[in-house]
Parts: sequence; C-alpha cells; structure tokens
Amino acid sequence: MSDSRPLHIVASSSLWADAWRRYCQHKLAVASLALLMLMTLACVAGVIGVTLRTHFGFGWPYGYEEQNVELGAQMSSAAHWLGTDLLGRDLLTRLLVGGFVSLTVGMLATGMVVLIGVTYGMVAGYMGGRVDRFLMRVVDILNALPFTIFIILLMVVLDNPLKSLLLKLNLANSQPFIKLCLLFLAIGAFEWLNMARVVRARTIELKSLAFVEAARALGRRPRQILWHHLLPNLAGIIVIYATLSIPAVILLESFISFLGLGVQPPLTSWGDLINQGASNMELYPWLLIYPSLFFSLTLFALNFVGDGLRDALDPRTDKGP
Amino acid sequence: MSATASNLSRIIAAVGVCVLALTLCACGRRETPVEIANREGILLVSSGGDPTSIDPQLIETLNDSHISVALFEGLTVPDPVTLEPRPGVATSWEYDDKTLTWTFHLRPEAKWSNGDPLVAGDFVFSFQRMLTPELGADYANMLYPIKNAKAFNDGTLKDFSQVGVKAIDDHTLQIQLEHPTGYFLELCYHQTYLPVHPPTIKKFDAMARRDSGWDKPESFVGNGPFVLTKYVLGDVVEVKKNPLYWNAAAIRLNGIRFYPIADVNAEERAFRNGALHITSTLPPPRIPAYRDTHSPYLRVMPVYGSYFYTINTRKEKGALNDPRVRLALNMAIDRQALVDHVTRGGQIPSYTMTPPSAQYQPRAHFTEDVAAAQKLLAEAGYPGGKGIPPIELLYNTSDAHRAVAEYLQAAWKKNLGVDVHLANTAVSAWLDRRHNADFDIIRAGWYGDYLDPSTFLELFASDNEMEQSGWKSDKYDAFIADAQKESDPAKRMEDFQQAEAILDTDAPIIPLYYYTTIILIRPEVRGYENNLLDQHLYTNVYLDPTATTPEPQQ
Amino acid sequence: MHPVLRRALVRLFEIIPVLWVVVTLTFLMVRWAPGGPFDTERALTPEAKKHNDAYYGLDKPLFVQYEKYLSNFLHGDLGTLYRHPDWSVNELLAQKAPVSAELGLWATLVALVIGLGTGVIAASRPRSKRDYGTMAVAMIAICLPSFVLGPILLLVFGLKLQMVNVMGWNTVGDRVLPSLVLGLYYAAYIARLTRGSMLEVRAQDFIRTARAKGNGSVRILLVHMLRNALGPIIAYLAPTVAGLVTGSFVVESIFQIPGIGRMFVEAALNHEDQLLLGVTVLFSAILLFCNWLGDVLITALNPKAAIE
Repeated sequence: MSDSRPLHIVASSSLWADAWRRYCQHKLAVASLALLMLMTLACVAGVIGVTLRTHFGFGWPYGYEEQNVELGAQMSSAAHWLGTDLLGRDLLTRLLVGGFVSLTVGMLATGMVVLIGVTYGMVAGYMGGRVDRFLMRVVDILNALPFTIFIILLMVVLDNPLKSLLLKLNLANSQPFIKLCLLFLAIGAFEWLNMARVVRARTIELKSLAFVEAARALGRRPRQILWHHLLPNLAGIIVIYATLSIPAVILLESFISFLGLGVQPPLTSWGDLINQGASNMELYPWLLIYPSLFFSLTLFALNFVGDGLRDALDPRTDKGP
Repeated sequence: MSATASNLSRIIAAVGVCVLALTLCACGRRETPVEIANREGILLVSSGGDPTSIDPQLIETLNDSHISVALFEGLTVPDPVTLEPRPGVATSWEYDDKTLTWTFHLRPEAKWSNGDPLVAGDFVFSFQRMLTPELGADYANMLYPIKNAKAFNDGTLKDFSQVGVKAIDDHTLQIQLEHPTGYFLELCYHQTYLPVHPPTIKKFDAMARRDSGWDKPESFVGNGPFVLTKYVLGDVVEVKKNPLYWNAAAIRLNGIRFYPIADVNAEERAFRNGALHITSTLPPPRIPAYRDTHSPYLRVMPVYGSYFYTINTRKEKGALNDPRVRLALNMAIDRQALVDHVTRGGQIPSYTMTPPSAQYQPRAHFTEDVAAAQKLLAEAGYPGGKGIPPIELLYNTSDAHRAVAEYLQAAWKKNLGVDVHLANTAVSAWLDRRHNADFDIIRAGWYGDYLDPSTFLELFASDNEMEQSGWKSDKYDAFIADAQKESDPAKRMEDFQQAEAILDTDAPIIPLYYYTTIILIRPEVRGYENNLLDQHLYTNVYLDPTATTPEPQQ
Repeated sequence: MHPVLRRALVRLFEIIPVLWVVVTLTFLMVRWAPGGPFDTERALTPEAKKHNDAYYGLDKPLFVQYEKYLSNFLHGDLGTLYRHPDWSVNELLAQKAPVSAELGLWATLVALVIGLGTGVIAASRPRSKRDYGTMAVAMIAICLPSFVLGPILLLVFGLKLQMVNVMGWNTVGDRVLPSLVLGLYYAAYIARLTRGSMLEVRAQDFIRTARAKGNGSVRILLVHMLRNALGPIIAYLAPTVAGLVTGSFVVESIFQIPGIGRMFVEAALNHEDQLLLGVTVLFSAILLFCNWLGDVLITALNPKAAIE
C-alpha cells in the first residue's frame, strides 16, 4: 500500500546548526562574538596599515615605533586619537599592533594546547589500562612543577639555541619574534595538561557508548575510531576549553611582560602596554586606561563567548527557575 | 524563589560591605613610620635592593657601600663635601716618596664593637683576606697599588709577608706602594680597604669562604659608628648606634633602617606614604612633576659617574670591528634630547668616558653630526646602513634603561638606516654576557671609586678584564702606564687626555651622559651633603623634626 | 582497613616518588640554563673562578653534582645562595615561607568568603539583574591583572587617603590590601564556579523533592545545593591554595612583602640554583599534598565520585 500522506520536507538540522541557534539565544554571547571579530579586524587592519607605511610610505598615519620625544606623553587630541606614550609614539597604533601580538600569542599557544592536549587525552582515555595510568602519571608530575618558574626557565634556556637556529636558517632579521615564539612555545608546553585531563575524561565517557562499540564490532581500527567517531563528539568540549584558555594565556603573557621577559621593544603587547601604564598611571592615566579597556573588553568577550559556547554545545545546566 | 532566600542574599551583601568598610576605617589617621622614626631618632633609607652581603670585602655596588660605611671605618674618612681624606681610624700619616711608603698612626682609643682594641695587625689581616685568591673577592684589584698585591692575588706570590703592608706595632701601619698613587689616601676610605675582625673571621673559617655567615647580627663585629641588629633579606637591614665607637659622642642618630626596595615605583610610593626619609632613586617620568612644582623633596646631585654602552669590537663582529662604524653610531644621536626628554634628570650629555672634575676637563674628539656620520658609514662600506648585519643591543631589565635603548634604536634607524634589535635580561644574565663577551652592544655604567680619571681610564687597559669590548691599543696602554708612574700632577693629566683622545676616536664605547643621582629626601634629614662620590657618613647626619625646608647645598 | 582509607594512604605515599622526579627534572633544567652563578660585575681572575667553581662543586660531572645534591638534601642541607652568600636556603625558607603562607591563607579566606557569598547571591535568583550584575563584577576582577589593581588601590588608599602603609608586613593593617589584591581574582573565579555548579545541582531531582517536602528555601540553598556543589570548588581550590601559599611575585613586589614568591622568580632569573631547587620541592610538596587533601574531601562529601 502506498503512502498517501503529503510529503513535508523538513530542513535537516545538523548538530552545529542546533548549537548555533542555541548560541544565538544569548544576546550577550552574540554581542561578545561581534566585539571579538571587530577587535581582531581592527588589529589586523592596524598591522597591515603599519606594514604598508614602513615599506611603501603610505596608509597609516603613524608607525608603531616612531618616536617624538619632544612631544612626550600627551592626552587624546585630533592628531593622536588616544594620545601618545612617554616617547611620543601614537598610542592607538601601538594598541592595535600590541593587540595583534597578544591575540596571536594567545591563539598560537592555544593551538599548541589543543594539538598536544587533545591527542594526549584521547589516546590515554581510549587506550585505558596501563598506558592510561602511565600517561596520567606523567601529567601528575608535570602538574606538580611550579608552572611560572618553568616557563621562565624554558625561556632562558631556549633563548640562545633558538637564536642560533634562526641565524643558521638566515632568518636573523626576525630576531624580535624569537621572544614571541619562545613565549607561546613555553606557555603551550604547560597549559596542555588541563585540556588533556578534560579530553581524557570525556573520551572515557564516550568510549562506553553504543556507537563506539558498534564501530569496533565493525572492525574499524582505533585510529579511525578516534578520528571519525570520537573527535567530532569531543569538538564541543575542545572548543569551549580552547576559548576559555585564550584569556588565561593572554593574562600569563602580561605577567611575563611584567617580568621584562616578554616581547622586545619596539614591538609591544597589551600586557607590556598595561605594565607601562600601571607605572605611570598617576601622571599619565590614559596610558593605563586605554590598554586596560581594550584588554579587559577582549577578555570579557572571550569569556562570554566561551560561556555561550558551553551552553550551546553542552546543554546540561538548568537555567530556569 | 521565596523571600527568605533573597533576604539572605541581601544580608550577605550588606555584611560584606560593612566588614570591608570597617577594616579600612579601622586604619584611620595613622602615625606614619617617618613620624615615629623622627621621634626615635632613626633614619629610614631605601637601599634599592637586597645587599649582596654585609661583609665589606664581598660587596660591589654603590648602594651596598652605603650600608658598609655605617658599620665599618677605614684609615681615612671622606670630607662630606670636598671628599678630602680626613682622619678615620688613623689620626695622622706621613709619606716617604723615596720608598713610596705611607706610615699611618692609628688612634689608641679605636675599638671593635665587642670591646676588642683595634690594632694595626687587623688591617694587615684584612688586606690579606681581601687579596686571598680563594676568597674570589671581585674588587680585590682596588688594592693593587699596594706592592706585590697583584702578584699575591693572582697566585704567583704565595708569601703574604712580601706584600707591602706591615704592622710596625699595634698602632703604626706601614703601606708600601707599587708606584706613586696620588689618590691613595682617598682609596683608604673605599669599602675595599675596610677592616674586618680577625677573631670572628677565624672562628667562622671565613678567610677563604664567602658563605660563612659571620656577618649575621648574632655574630657581627665591626668598628664603625653603628652595629648590625637586624638583617632580613627582602625586608630590612637595621643598625643601631655603637656606644664603643671612638667618636660615639658625635653620633646624633640612634639607628638606621635600610629597606631593600627594588621596585622603583614602590619606593616612590613609600616615600609619599611617609615610610622613607631618603629614596635611592626616582623614576624619570616623575622627575618633571617634582621639578615643576619646586618640590622641597627633590635633590639632584651630580656624581662622578658615566653612563655608556660598550661595543664588542672583535673581528668576528663584522661591522662593529670598524672604528668608522662605531664613530658613526656615536655621532648620529642627539644626547641633549636624550637627557632633556627621556632621562630628564639634569644629566650632562657626555662625549668622553671620563666625567669632568676639578683637575681634569676632558676634551671631546667628535661632535654630533648626522651628515658626517652617514658619510663615515658609507666610507666604511655600508652606505645608508645597507649591508650591516642586525646588531643586538642588550640592557638589564628596567624601565629607565629600556627608554634609553628605545631612543637609540629609533635614532640609528632614522639617521643611519641601521637596524638594531633590543634585548633585555635580568641583572645576572646581563653581567654574565658582559663577562663572556657575548654581546654586540651592551649597556654599561661606571661610578668612580675615587676622584681621579684613572678609575675610568684604567678600565680600558688591555690587562683589565672588566670591560669586555675586546679593544686593545698599545698606545693607550702606554699612556696609562706612564700616568701610573708619573708623580707630576699636570703631566699625569696630560697622559690621561692623550689616552682619552685615543678612546674617543677609536670609539669602543658610546658615552651618553654623566650620571646624576636623583633622590627624594625629607627636610628633617640634615647633614646629608651632596658630593661627587655619593658617599655620606652617618656620623654627620641627624634628624630635625621641626625642619620644613631642605638644607642648602654647596 | 577500609578500602577508601587505604587508597587515600597509598595516594599520600605516592607523593614521594613524584617529588623525586620533580627534583630531578628541576635539577636538569637548572643546570642546562646558560650562565654560571659567578658572573659578577668585575671579572674574576681565572684562579678565583676555578676556586669558586671547585668550592661549589660546579666543576664536577653532572651526575656527581646530582648525587651530592640529593645526599645533602636528605640530610636537610639545601645549600647556600650564590648572590647572597650570607644566607642558606634553609634559613631563607624558614624566614620567608611563613610570610607567604600567611598572605596566601588570608587571600584564600578573602576568595572563599567573597567568592562563595557572591556565587550564592547570584545563584539564588538566576538570570536576574542580581545574577548578571554580580557575574559582571566578577568578570572585571578576572580580567584585571594584580599589577594593575594593586597600584590603583595603593594610589587611592595609600597615597590619596593616607589610610594604610604602602609597604611592609608589620601591622595588622598591612594585611588588608595585599590579601584583597591577591584574593579578588580567585574570589571571582570561585563566584562563577559556585554559581555554575549550584545551578547544575538545582535542576536535579533531589532538590525538587526537598522543595516538595516543604523545606525552606534558605535551607535548600545552603544545605543541599551548596553541599553538593562544593565538589568542583574544592577541585579548583586545591591547586589554587597551594599556589597562593607559596607566594605571589607580583603582590610581594608591589607591597614589598618579604615572602618566598619574589625570591622564587628572582632565583629563576638570577640563576640561584640551590634556592630554585629548594623552593620548587617545597612548592611541589605543598601542591601534591593539597591535591591529595582535596581528593579526600571530595570523596568524603560525595562518595559516588570515589568510584571514578
């Protein structure tokens, strides 16, 4: 007997589309995402503008390193929208370039965290048994190390070798970026621990579910199971933790700048600008206010986006009365 | 949710705010540490960082010497203003210029703080300890004017009795010099010539050991106007009046507290909060604020010191090996602008290594001229700065040094097209890299140990391991050696001028400015006179709580 | 012996081998970093340098140095400092660790009281102005580094109002600002955690049962929700307290507090190997112990978690 009911074509809704819809229900999270994109665009525009100016002489009105010591630190004016710093450099330009540096460090370090942490956690969780115990033991030991001290030590230790490597590869002109590379390498080398733990816990939960059993029964190899079956289901939690670890990395970078180990002048970062502002906040308050504003707003936005993602991708929390 | 829960939350919030308010209000109008200290006659000073040690033979920095001058006294002491040597432990002295021998007569009433009499043999013992190679005293070279001192210190001479210092009797000390040293009496009040208590050193087996801990308060013995009562790293070094000091009657302070504040902003806050009488420095961005308001607290002291950059001139450094490149770097910066807008401390721009003093006005041998510098650079084979491999400029972490470095970087880029990368490290790594010649251009600074050009110019003699520029000049060495042997003051100064000329034109350094010491000091502090070596005897200092205007300075 | 108790004791003893690995790793790291400890302003004569190296055992092969360090360590001798030769590591730890510990405990108290209080307030009426308001303030505290908050508070209360001392650790009043500056960041974190986990618990069946049974809201709030929500908070607190108690470089520098946090970072920057090793071991021991304690507490509060 044929089916004579009219055919209703319902638009298929993937997991991601559902999540996006849930995300959009949070006005704050949406606003934060917009802010983040705006901030990133502004920083990229700033860097491009400054590069154009250095190499072709047009575009951006100021270089980020162009000094005007006679002018010194001035408040906002028509010429300098956010004022100038102690050496007469335009603050807006430096904020945009610094933002680019901070966000890059944040994302690169987080990228490293994701790469190492997810692989490690998945393998440990899936393998189980002795492998798991050993891998987690290593994590416990690394966790027991004083994290900030080791980052400092790593930076001190890797400084010279990295420099000689760059010299050999004839990339000597990129020396200012050494410290940057070192920074995100060093931070990433320790931040992955928490990601690994979380991924492992989730992997263990997922491992016992029916679809994994089915895949195994079908004869799929572990690598395929990990890549095709587990990873997509882990994506939610990975994205959440990654988003939430970017602010932690940026804060850490600001602390490293406080110690004088961060990015080298004339390059700057938000942490560096805030640090200089904090030393001079009484006489030149704008040197602290604008960098802190940019910094805090971005971190705010990142945290709210992370919260929003958590609600969208992992809806276990009750929100109603 | 029910009213009860929401009430509870309101209560929690209210309590929280009350507690906070109460805690802060409880502090109220407090008596500041300075007010308390004025009453008690105690001077509160910032020493700018933890002292390396209290042992006068292991310290190196100017700030550490400010502590040692309270706890020990040498053969002579400096006049507070002119820095001329005055009687210290020694009451009188004679010089025999045929044998190059000084004879000092020590005062019989001099004692150690535990009551032991201070005798000439104590000085012999102290010099021996200072020169003992195994102790590794970094500053031992200050004693090299003494006959055979250098040989003993580098291990070639094993018998100390051959070294030119002898105790004729308990109160007569004879020192024979290696060569005429016109400033020897000034050397005698330097911290490297201070005596230490032999029985204490022996008890702690500290003759050749740095880490004996003999200088902790429980075991400390010194001969100065004050004794050590408290020594806590990162907290305070406290000294109290020594009643057994031979001139105890003249001491008007009851004690001194040295606070090792490393963060210059915290230090300035502490002064404004009434926690300090004297700071060790002032951050450059704040100087204009004090100066423009004619603050009674600001004190600017020219000192006998030089701020410069050392260039690594070794062959493998390529461009920096060429004196024309180095001279071009020197000529392409505007030092007056640096001093006016970046360091702002009334420093004097310098074009020579040695600062001017009463007997020596150094002559400059280059002028700041960007066009001429560009020409020089082109002559050396790097027109427009092309072809020069990137140069690294190294400085130790500090806002002030960073500002100077950034200024130079921008100037060289703009005026010469030369790319310079900045790097900063903590102090120990910075010292390490200076010592190992692991730098291109490195920040340096030197405070004169005594008022004579040799304290600066001897740094660049080829046998001096202090400045690792790798630069050597036989002609320069010849002038320095000549000056050492010369007893005619005018001829000596001319030797130094010639040496300075070579240094200036070959340019293994980039002189920037002559130091000024800029501090904040409360008007209650009297007797703290300006002088070129920034040496202040606390026997002259006293507190007058009624004073509201600072004392006039010469 | 009760299996849970036995497991707890086993975990406690497992700290020792982990500590040993930590010591070894730190030792290798520290010896690998370039720059010897004797590079001072004036170059030492080769004689003197040789002597110093020999005295501190720096001229021996790495393995020998390691053995010597371990054997000294087991005898309670943690070595002396290079740049401040008057002091031994033992003396410094004895002097400074208690100061940092006190600061850390005060900061923990601030974090707990303000954090829990704020979190409870927020969770009591979710998605209300109260909720969003407190969480926004918490967010500001998280995004403001301590080296900004500290000077701001010092400027206001120390310099403008002249109410507190800006440096030192002498009077009771000296404890207030440093603890606040240090603790507020963690208070904000705890507030968010508390709110989050309380809301999670709220949805669960047993809360609805309790409400249906007619228990008062406050009782539900405090007794049931908070108690069940404490798990993640304790898990967060354990390493945090360990970190707080071993000192904060930033706060100790700004307020000139003679704690171990400042010395620790300076040791890393200045190549003070012995001090670095000593404090690292102390830090790790405290961290491992706090984690162990946290595990024990979570298990006690919620035996289900023990099965994981």
